[in-house]
Amino acid sequence: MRGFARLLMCDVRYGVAAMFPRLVFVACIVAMAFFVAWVKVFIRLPEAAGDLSFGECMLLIWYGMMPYSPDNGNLFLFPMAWFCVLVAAAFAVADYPSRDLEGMGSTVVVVSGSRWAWWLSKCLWVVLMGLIVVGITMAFSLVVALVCQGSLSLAVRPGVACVLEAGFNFEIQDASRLIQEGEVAAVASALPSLDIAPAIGVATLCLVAILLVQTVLSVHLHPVLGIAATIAVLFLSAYFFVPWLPGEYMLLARSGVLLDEGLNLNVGVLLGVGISVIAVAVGDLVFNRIDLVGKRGENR
Amino acid sequence: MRPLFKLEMHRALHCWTFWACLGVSVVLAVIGAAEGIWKYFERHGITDMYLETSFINQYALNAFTQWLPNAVMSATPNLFFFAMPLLIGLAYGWSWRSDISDGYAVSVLVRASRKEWERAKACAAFISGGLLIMVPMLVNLAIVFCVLPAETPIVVDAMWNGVWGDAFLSEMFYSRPVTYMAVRFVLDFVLAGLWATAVLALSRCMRNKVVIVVLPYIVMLLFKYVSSSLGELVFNITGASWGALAIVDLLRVRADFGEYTWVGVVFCAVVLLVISWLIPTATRKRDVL
Repeated sequence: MRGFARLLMCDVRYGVAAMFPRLVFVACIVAMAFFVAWVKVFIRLPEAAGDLSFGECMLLIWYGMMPYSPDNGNLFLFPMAWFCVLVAAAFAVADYPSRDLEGMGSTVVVVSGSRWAWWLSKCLWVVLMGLIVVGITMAFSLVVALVCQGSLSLAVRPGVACVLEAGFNFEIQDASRLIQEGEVAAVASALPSLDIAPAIGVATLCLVAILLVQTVLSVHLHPVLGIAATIAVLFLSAYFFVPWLPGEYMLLARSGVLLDEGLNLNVGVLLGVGISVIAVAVGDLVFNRIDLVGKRGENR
Repeated sequence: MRPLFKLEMHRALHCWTFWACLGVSVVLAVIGAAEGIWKYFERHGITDMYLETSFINQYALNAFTQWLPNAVMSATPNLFFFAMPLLIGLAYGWSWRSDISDGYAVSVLVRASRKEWERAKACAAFISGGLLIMVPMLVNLAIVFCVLPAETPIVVDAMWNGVWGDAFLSEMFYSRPVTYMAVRFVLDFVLAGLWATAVLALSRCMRNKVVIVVLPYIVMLLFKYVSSSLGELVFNITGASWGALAIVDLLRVRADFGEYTWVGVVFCAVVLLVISWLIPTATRKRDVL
């Protein structure tokens, strides 16, 4: 147990330090995604852009897109801001475990006498990194909310969500026409604010689940193939609207909180926990059988 | 130049990353073909009942519209083109850094000039990148044309296939689809090849293989996001815009947002070409030891 604690402390200290530049990169992408989304709100709904709440700032980053329907010539408008933030998160955890295994890690496994301890420690490091990425978006949103003197609650006004769906396209849907005609303030104030806290919690859980699966692929195949798998899951989650894809729960626009027939968050919790447990267990099973000596310097 | 080029081509086409990436992209292309065929038969079943009472084209979805770069409303073709820049970088883009760090470059450079070696390497990366996109497109084409009718698409069916009249080369797509396919092959080969050489050039500035492959990809996605968002904004204010500029959009018949023109294609090609030329030239005098 003591050995495991030391392994974990090493990973927390050196792993986070090694990936610090990538966390800064994630923060830059979060800032950029937020800024472009904020410009959309500012143009369409200037009265809301001045006093965005903490929850609305979070929504600007995690909104994603409504369910896509491939009918009547509808093009698939991929939610790039959401995607860039999550691919950057995947990049931040991409290769520390595999690099560690190719270098000192294999010696550490032998000295510690337990493969399971090494693997579990790496999984907990991935969980920590996932939480740090969400923490970065929260810290950024909090700072913006404080600067804007907005509310510090996780409640969002429905009008802000309408603007995010409409984007810059002034004629895309009825909601945006309301905004263009200046009626959104009335519409938004008539509707109760929505609390997105549970949706953010489930999104965090699903992010950690996807990152754990990526780590399994990264350690056993190749870090870039792990990222490619994450990209595939995120892409398919945005295209389809099915409750068994974990990426769905990271698109806040589709959660039951914002959408009438949206995703059930309880299913998201089960899915996130289930995938995480399976990823850790499968990763350990495979890790117990691999040749550690052959892994040295493999991907350099 | 010739023996070096041969050697580099052999290495590029025989490394496991190239085959792994080719495998993944071919699998995606096959799934894309299956999705296109499934959509065709699904729609065919729906249109049958309206044939006697309404004007409806049974072949609005056909072999041309369901081919990989043209199936803009399907999931797998979109995923294919989103993943390709990453896979192209992984196939051989990291090799310069790897050759330097494992000592291979030193043993080559005592026998050949650095300029020749780098040129051979860039050519090999260009061809491997081009092949990586061309082979799956050919596989997809073969499957789709074996199953679906090769009916010339008509422009009134744009709402079914997503290729509106203002899409890039749409006039050619609707009038001479076979020529369009040839142009698309050449264009995608060149753009994918240039992306591979640009990643190869950027590998001089980075040490970690994962960073070499993934960072240019993320930066390209960011560029796509910012340029298309700004383009959308400018378009809604002024009525004119630059359209899509990122390679991930230019590989398909149309972009996520709006259209693109030859200007966008040339811009992208020139930027990739400048990166591929400028970085190696600027770093040529660096010590390879």
